[in-house]
Amino acid sequence: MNDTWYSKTNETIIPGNPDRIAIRWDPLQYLNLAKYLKVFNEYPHDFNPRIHGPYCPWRYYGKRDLHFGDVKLVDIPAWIARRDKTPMGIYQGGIRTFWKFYRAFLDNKKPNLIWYTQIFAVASLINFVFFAIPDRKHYKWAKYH
Amino acid sequence: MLAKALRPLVTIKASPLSLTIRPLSISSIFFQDASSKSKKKDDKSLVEKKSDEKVLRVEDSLKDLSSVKWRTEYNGKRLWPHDQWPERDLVNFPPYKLREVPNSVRWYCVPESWFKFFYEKTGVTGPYMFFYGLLIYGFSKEYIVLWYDFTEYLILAAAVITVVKKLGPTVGDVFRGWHQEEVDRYSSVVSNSKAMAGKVLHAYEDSLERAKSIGLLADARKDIINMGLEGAYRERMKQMYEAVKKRLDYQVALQNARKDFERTNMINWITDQVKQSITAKQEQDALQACLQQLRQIAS
Repeated sequence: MNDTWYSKTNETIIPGNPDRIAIRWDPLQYLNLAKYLKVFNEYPHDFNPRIHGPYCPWRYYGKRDLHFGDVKLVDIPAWIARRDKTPMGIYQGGIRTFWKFYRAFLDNKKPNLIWYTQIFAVASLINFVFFAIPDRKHYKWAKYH
Repeated sequence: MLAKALRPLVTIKASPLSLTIRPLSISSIFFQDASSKSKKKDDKSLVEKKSDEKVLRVEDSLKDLSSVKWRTEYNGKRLWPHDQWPERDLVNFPPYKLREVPNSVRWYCVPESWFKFFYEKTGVTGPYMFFYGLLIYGFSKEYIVLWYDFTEYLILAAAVITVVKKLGPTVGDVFRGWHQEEVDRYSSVVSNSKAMAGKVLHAYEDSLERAKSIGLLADARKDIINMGLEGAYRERMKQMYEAVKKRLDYQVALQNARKDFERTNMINWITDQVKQSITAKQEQDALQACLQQLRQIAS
């Protein structure tokens, strides 16, 4: 054998590396889904480990802004205008919400089942508002309320 | 658009040019790099050349991590290898800490932070009135229709709440006990070793203290033996004294007896001789003299 399947000079090269494979057609480019998901697996733009330390997905690393409870009713449109409303921003906000929920109820030494009851309550509300009320409209006792 | 979809998928090389420009969009994945394609065609042999080797980069999207090196200076001050992050903001971004308990919750689904938020504006009863008001609104506007299945829901709610209130803590403790047992399997190894080490150290310290007192024991034994020796010596002295005294007393008694015998013998001999020499006339004269003396005393 005039060549080994592993690299003798650089051990960080692993099989499947398209830079190393000399064939023209590599089936791995159809199997490798990580490159499509890479966009969703990147750190936020404002994250700097030198300043912020290890990455915490529940934190927002941009400029600090008022909490929704502290903003006045008059400033709400301006506050909403300052938010990042791009798809990536919305996606990152959703991820942060999930991680905040996880840290609030699941990431501790004495977990309980409140996380389950909360999801159950929200799902019940959605079912009630969007599916049960229309079904029960036929059984109303009065027409006008 | 269709041509783009039909275009064959080609892998993207992380060329030096592309590292500086990193747009956060998926169009870059489907962009065909002409330079990378030409490079691939020239690489015919399977033997690696160091110049063409590509290392898989772990995190390309972080701005500063691609040039991570040990820094020697920062703001004019010397940076040591153990202190490479002087910009770290520990006040606003503290390090991660595992929490002890989850967030507290009322009615099993409403978090306490909402109650705290509305406390300034509505007081303590604000959220309660809000949810009860919602309920009443639902009844009055017939969003919650009071049909025959409503009783089931009421009883179900009561039953669920009762069961959870009574059995919840017990079940939680049981599960936590099982979990804690598994955790203790791992942590008990080290803690038991520590405890045993502590006991062994305590025993060693005790034996060292006892080692110090061995000298005192030896001295005590020596004292006991010396006291016995002294007692024996004194006893023998006493015996010697008694023996000597006995012999001397014998000599003394012997002399006294001799003297006593001589004296008694002499006295008896003398008295016997005197008694023999007394005549009848001397006896009568002695008697008359005594009688005269008596008469003189009586008168």
